[in-house]
Amino acid sequence: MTDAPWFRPAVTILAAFGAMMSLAAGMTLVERKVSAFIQERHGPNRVGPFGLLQPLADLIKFVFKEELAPDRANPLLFLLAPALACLPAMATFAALPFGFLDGKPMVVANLDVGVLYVLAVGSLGVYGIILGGWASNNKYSLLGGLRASAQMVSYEISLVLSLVSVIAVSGSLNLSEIVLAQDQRWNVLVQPVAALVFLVTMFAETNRHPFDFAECEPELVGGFHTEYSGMRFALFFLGEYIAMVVMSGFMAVLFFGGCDVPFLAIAATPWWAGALAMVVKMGFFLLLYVWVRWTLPRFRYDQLMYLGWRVLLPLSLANLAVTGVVLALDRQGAAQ
Amino acid sequence: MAELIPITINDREHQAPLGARLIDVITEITGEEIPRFCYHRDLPVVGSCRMCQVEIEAPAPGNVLRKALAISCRTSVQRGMQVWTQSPAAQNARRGVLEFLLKDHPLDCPICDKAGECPLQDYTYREGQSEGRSHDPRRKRRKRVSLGDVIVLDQERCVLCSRCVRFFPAVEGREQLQVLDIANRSVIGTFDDRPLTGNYQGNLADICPVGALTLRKFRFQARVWNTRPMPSTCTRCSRGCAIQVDAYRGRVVRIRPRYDAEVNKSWMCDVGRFTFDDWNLPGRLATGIQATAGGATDLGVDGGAQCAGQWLAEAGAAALLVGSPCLTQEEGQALLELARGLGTDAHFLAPEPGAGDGVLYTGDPAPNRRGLTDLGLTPMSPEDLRRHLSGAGASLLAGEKILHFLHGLDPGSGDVAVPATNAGPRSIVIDTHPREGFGLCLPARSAVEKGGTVRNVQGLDRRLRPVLPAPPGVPDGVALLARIATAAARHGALVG
Amino acid sequence: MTVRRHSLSWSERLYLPAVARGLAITLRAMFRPRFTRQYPEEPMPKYPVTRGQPRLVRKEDGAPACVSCGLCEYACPAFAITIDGGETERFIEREPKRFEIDMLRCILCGFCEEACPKDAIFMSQELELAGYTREEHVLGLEQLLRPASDFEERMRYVGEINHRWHATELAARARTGNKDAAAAGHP
Repeated sequence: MTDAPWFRPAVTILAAFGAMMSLAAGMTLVERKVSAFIQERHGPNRVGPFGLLQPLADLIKFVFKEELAPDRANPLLFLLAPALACLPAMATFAALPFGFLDGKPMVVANLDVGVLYVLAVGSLGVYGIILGGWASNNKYSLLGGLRASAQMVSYEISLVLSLVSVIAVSGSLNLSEIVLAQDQRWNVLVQPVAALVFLVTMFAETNRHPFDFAECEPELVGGFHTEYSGMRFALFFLGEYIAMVVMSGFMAVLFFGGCDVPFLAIAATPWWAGALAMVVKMGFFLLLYVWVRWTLPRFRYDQLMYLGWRVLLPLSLANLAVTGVVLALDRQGAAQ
Repeated sequence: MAELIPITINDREHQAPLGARLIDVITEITGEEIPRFCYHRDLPVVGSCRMCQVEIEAPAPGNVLRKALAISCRTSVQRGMQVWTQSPAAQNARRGVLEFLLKDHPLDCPICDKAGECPLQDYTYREGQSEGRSHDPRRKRRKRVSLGDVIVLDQERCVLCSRCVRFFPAVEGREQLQVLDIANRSVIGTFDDRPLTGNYQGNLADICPVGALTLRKFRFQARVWNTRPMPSTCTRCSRGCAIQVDAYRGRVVRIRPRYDAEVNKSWMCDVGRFTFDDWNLPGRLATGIQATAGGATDLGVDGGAQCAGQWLAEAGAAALLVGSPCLTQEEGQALLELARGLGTDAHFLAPEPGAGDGVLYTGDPAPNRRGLTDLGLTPMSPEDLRRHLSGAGASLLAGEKILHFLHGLDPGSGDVAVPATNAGPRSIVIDTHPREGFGLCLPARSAVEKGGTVRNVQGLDRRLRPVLPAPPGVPDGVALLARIATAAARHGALVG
Repeated sequence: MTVRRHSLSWSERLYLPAVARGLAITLRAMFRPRFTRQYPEEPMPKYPVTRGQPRLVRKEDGAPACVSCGLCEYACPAFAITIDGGETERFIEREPKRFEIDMLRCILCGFCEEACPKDAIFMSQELELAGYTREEHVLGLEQLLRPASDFEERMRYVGEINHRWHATELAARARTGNKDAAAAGHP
């Protein structure tokens, strides 16, 4: 059975889906626990040991909550929006390499244009938010959706530009090859500015604090999900956490060597050690998401735009220019 | 009327009758109540408690002015008199008297029934001091001495004002209580611990200025600050004493006399004081009930009045209308109007008067006999009524207690069931409780639930006031009779 | 009034050091001891000032200390207390035949305790007040009685408070010359 052609893809898909869902579910607990610790509280600790079964309890609650739809909402889009927010985030997970087994990357889809795929599919997630905001027939939801789209447009540019310099350094669009290229030297050391820009835009792309203008409860009640309840709301929620997982994964892959264990060649690393290194790196950035959320206050909307257009965009452009010049000089030197 | 002379009270000029008691003059003129224990408006003055001391200046023999403390109950208004009620000397004297009275007074106000209406408590709060200076243990006395069926004596609380001792000779003309022993060993008691007798024992609890004499029936039943006192008139005999009815949680718990100079002064008899259980009886009638073959039909008050009106109108002059002797003047008038419309006479049931006790109780159980007679209602004896009842075309017996009088029962006995009366198919009774043997029962308010006028044996009109709320839906007697009259007019009677 | 704006220095405009400082603060907070009390497992500490549900004192001989004087009933602003008094053969003469506190009405103000002349009712340290029916919150005499030893500290505390109140009241009465005291009419 293990020789069957469907076996390896099936195991990979199941493992990836399981990892994704359990990470996202775990994140809901981590979020609540860490926020509690920061505020000197206990956090959920009644369901299971240390509250570990809390996500399960949450799920049961979500399933049994009544699904409410506002009067004169667009029923089809209202139903579709949560799925649209959740699915792209899940799909991008497919391109995330978790290590190498027998020289082959442990990834659902080892795409030659992995970076482009991630950017293209990942950007679709904002449609769910915009449609959810529009279909709710609620002014707060609509404002939340509009903000999400404006924010996406503003920060996507800086995100892509910071990635271009990474691609230039690595010389490949394939994520596994980008990992292999960092065997000796992580990209964060070569491209610290790009890493910083990516870190900031990563928060903005996932609509996380301090850039969570799409929900922004003091101004917009609940933003795009004001009218959502039950399992539909849970899907938005899940989409956000999966997006966080995926973005943390890309941060690890693009700048921190993915499955590379420091001071150890990738080829010499056992597969489990590589996967563990990857998960640890992802975990750090996931923790950072939460940590930042409970530390920094939310930006003002004009500050968000100022930061996106007048700080990050020039910064990533300059970084790309410098990278280009250095690479050109380096290649000239090598040719001579 | 004595001559009015000028008198100075607390540095202000007033006019007062020469020779009047100073304590009453001060209260009447300035409204200030001089503390008193032994003095009582309707008892002989002894001046033993010294609580009512005020400072006076009056011309003494030899035409010199002398300033001195004097007990205001034993001092008469004189020419050239000046009085200070709140001078330091007067206040100091009264505080001293209070302190001595309190030295042996037990601190059982939480238990004592008098608490809340106790002069000793009030005066102590007003001008006494709150802490005793004596180190001697308090005097021990007997706490629960039975003085018969009515009164319980607590000798520790007694301040020996002797009001109770003076009460019996002054009101009943014989002595029952005495101050026994002498000096510090003095106590109140009866000779050989015999129980008290007579119809006026209950007054002892009213006049006792402390909780030494309390009513057995009221003992620990309610706290007096929770009871709602309402002025009314006693309907247990034809004397019509002014009373104050204390209601607690919708029940009558105590009846006290109210001062009425022309009728009862400060007193009332034990018959009137203790027969109130019938007003607290459950099972009140609040609707019209018609007896039908094999059962009863609830007609409601209005339906019952319609039915009654029809029956009476159809009987016309053959109808028999008899009111209870407890009817008020207003109800009696309404019954009279109805009778005139039907072309017949209005009667009232006049039971045989019993013997009075020569003081207040007249022995006549019909409280408004004189008033109803004056109105023009014909008295009818119970024997006559029994004779006429079954023969009448239609009959109306109106007013509470009428069946008690008809059957010769004690009207105050709340728990005695009234036997079934064979009154014929078209007989109507208006009473507080459902009665058997009548074609139709209509509800009535009791004497503590209705307002109205009664004329007592002396010919004085006195007010009844609603003390308790009537059961929901029970109309006033006048209103019910008016409804019956309206219904009768609809069926051809020439009412109104 | 004009507020002078502090112009930010270059390093402040970079924000990153401030962000790092903020993260450091929250990181430290994560390892501080928890402030939240895990209530049912860790009950609140009880002090003499704790004003829990009112309870009656049972004396050593087993009888209630209450003489049903009705002062707590009268003082109760929520009409939570109902007392029926009656005669007893004991020396005290009067005892409660029925003493009910409707805990759904009780507002735990402590006036009953303050009014009681017999040290018979005290605010206990029993705080839990939950149930499934209204009826079970109407507590009768037997449910209210507690041994006197339960109230020793509270008794001392209330005694102190009353003593202090008494002193100020006496001073106030001396100042006003007892003018506020009610004048009752007696024959």
